[in-house]
Amino acid sequence: MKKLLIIILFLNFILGCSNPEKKIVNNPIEGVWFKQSEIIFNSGAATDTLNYDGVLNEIYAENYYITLVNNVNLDSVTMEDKDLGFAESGQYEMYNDTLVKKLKYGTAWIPNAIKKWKKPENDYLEVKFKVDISDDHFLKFTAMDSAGNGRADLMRKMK
Amino acid sequence: MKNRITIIAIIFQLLALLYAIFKGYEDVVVMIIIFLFISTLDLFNKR
Repeated sequence: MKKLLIIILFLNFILGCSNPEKKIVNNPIEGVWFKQSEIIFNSGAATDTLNYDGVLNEIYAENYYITLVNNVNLDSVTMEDKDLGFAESGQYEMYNDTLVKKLKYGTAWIPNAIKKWKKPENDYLEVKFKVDISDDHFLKFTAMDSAGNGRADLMRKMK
Repeated sequence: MKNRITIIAIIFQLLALLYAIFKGYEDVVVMIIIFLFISTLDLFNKR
């Protein structure tokens, strides 16, 4: 009886401590990112890298995101930064190498852009980006034609 | 779901503890106390 009790207790203990729900969804884009530079592509090859002096921070949670942008746009006469920046937020989905942003809220020119370009049946503006995600950085292609000419934002992960 | 299994395991261990004390199985009592401690820790694992 004692041996049986010990065996049952061991089984009971292993069962009690095992984790039946290993639901760790590995979404590589989740995290906090900042724009480091802009990469210029010609015929599919990276030909130039432009330093980025402004602020472009993106936070991706499970399926929501928020972006803060403040570019540098210097006035040629006064040398003052004219860019007021903007923020936007909404939901996002990842399909292989495509990031689909469903832009719902924003500041500055964003609300007008949503009204102007959204589909009538939606209450959000859908924007698609091709992305190339690695461990601590990802490329977000902001403009790219079929010949491979365009540009991409190099986003680096904040740790 | 996971917590429910752990709670059932703890209840069973408590019953086994009473039985072991009643029967005088000292080594089993020590074993159950260790198991109970580890199982209870698992309850607080939020991940």
